[in-house]
Amino acid sequence: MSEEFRRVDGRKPDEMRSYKIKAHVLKNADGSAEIRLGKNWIVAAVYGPKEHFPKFEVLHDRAILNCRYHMTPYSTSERKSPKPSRREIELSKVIRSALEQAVILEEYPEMSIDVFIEVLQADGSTRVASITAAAVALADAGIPMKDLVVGCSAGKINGRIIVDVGEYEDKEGEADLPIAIMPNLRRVVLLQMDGKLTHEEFKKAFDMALKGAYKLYEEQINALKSVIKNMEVLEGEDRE
Amino acid sequence: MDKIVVPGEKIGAIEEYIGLNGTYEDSDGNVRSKYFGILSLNREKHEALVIRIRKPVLIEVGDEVVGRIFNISGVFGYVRLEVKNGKPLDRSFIGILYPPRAVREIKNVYNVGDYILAKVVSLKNRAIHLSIAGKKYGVIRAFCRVCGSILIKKINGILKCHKCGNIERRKISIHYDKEWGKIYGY
Repeated sequence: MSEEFRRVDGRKPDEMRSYKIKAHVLKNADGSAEIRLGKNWIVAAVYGPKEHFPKFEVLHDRAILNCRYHMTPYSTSERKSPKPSRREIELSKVIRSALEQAVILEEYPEMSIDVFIEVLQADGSTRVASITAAAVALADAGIPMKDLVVGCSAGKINGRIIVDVGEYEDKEGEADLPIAIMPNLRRVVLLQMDGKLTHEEFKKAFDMALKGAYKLYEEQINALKSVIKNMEVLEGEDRE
Repeated sequence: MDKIVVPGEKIGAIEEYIGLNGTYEDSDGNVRSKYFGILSLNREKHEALVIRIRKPVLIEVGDEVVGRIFNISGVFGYVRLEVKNGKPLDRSFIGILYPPRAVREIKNVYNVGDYILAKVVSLKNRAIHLSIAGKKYGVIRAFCRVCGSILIKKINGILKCHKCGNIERRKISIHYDKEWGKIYGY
């Protein structure tokens, strides 16, 4: 082994893949965002707040946040059935509970907000990339939030801790640790672990994922700010 | 001083600024932005305000709406709203409509299938309450109860079907069958 450890795609252990976030990419949705993290390509769209149907499901003190994570049939190397799989249903739930902590749902009682996440191309760590894109889409739609939500993953392969786990490393690696945080409030909203890590390894992996998340947070802000530059007229003149 | 802020961005401590619309106070005593928008600070009054870039489409008090009555129970009409302030709505809202004064027969005020121009008077109890009081508001298009064709307004304020000659009454708006396209935002 050479002196400096290199990963399958030639990255250093603490190196992220290239990333790019764009906000307001869809015309018809209220808010939308697109993220490219390595070869991941994910689009998130937000509709709402709107009246919720059927009426017997509504909550009288807050809005309902619906979340749908879906992988397109052409997102993987082998065709994936478009039917929501067990994994997709679980990820929808995990993403919803992460976003629910940031969105101020109490402002819109008896209403619902829909978040649709479509994975066009999957390359590992799609759940954290989806959360990152969905948070930008929610902010773009003008929905009140306590903070943006940003996610990043860490893992372990051949006994080394790595950040931003790719697809190969996810399959062959020993552990995988996706986290999502609210960067300003310094709160963890998602923490999952797959495989085994010792206490020290966990601490190191968590710190690395945290650093990666703060890098993505900068990109989220840039994506939102570039929306204003591209806008011709400001619509929301609500000096109430 | 205008600055672009994103949700969660710190504006100042609670000793520095009073958070107005678009801000909230966190548990550590900081005023933070709630929206992705433009921050305007009033340094004399120590007030912070965030105006969001995009606003969700919701019905507010004072809006003028056009809708179609799809149900009547008792004297209340249930209206599916289609246009708000001259712009077509792309999602469903249901409003409740009352007759402007006590009436003997509700079918002489409005009927199922009529298009109405109304004003939102209240959002209490999480329902959209509509009013058609006033000359401007009321039925803007009505259909014959017998044959279903459009009723024509006559000079004395009654409506007559041009096909079967049936005569009906409504609480008519001054915009009845006029400026239909303008009201609808086409």
